[in-house]
Amino acid sequence: MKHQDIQNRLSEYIDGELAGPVLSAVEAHLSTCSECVGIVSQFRNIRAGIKERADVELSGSFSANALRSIRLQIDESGNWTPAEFIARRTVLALSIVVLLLVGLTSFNFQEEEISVERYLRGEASDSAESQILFNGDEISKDDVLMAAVSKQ
Amino acid sequence: MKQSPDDFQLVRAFQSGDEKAFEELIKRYQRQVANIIYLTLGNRHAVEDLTQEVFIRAFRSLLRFEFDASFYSWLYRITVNLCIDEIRRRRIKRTFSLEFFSEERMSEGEKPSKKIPTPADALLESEKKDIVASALQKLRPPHRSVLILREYEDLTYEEIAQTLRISVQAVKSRIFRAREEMRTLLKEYFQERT
Ligand SMILES: [Zn+2]
Repeated sequence: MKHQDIQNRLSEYIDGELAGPVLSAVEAHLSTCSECVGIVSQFRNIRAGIKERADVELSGSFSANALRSIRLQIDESGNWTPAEFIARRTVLALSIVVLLLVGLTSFNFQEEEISVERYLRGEASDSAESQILFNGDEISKDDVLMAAVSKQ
Repeated sequence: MKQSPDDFQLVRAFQSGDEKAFEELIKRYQRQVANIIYLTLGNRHAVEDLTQEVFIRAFRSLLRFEFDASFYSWLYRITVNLCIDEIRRRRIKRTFSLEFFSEERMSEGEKPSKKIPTPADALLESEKKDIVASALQKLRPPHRSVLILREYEDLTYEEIAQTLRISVQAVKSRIFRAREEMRTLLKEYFQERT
């Protein structure tokens, strides 16, 4: 690898992101090229400068104060706390279950209506209901019982 | 790796309704969040308020946290986004005040200094570490954020990619360019040292 190629990998080198033959090539080059050694040193100085500058310390009461502010904001904005969120999520889940049950029930009713329509149009059917409707005979108790049992 | 095994446990506790778990998460990360904000914005003004704002945003969305990334990379994404919002807000405010109130400001003797100290100036008036900090402020915000997460927080390229939702290749190239820019900005400083 040429000097320029090595120089372009020095940033990855100081971050420990190089491995294998590229790492070996960079290390070998650094033992002979003072310019690249200088760049590595400048990169390290930049890192040290940034780390040293990061000297903000918050007060010991910051977390408690922050939580108090959050609580205050939530009270004002009407947002939910985790406990409220969980409660509402449970209610929502139950509502969905109820809606699904209602939906399924009405689907069954619809099926029934379709069968009745078919009987009224006089379409052939071998169900117990059609036998009652179309046999022309008087309906016996057994016929009604049979229709009720064979439904579904 | 900075991922403490307890972060996820605290998040789960919070999701089950334990607000104290959130306070523990604040304690654990308040310093890092404050310093990322400070390094990104370049001054101490409002660092504490903005740190609090990060945790307010985190509180509001932590119930939807899906454990597909470390808690801190999720939190640092909120921090970086808030800093970008703040940079934009300050830029608008500055443009507005310069255009409309420049004369009044001058008469009040508080005309903002447009001159950012050069490395050589800064060397005279402040500590050496300030030189690096002021050079950092000249980087474009996307390059600045990546460099701060790398140099201050020691995140790996993979973690930075996850935090900022960009590719590892993009992280690599942004860090490289940020460092090259810093080297150019700090040329005089480095020459004086050698
Ligand atoms: Zn070289």
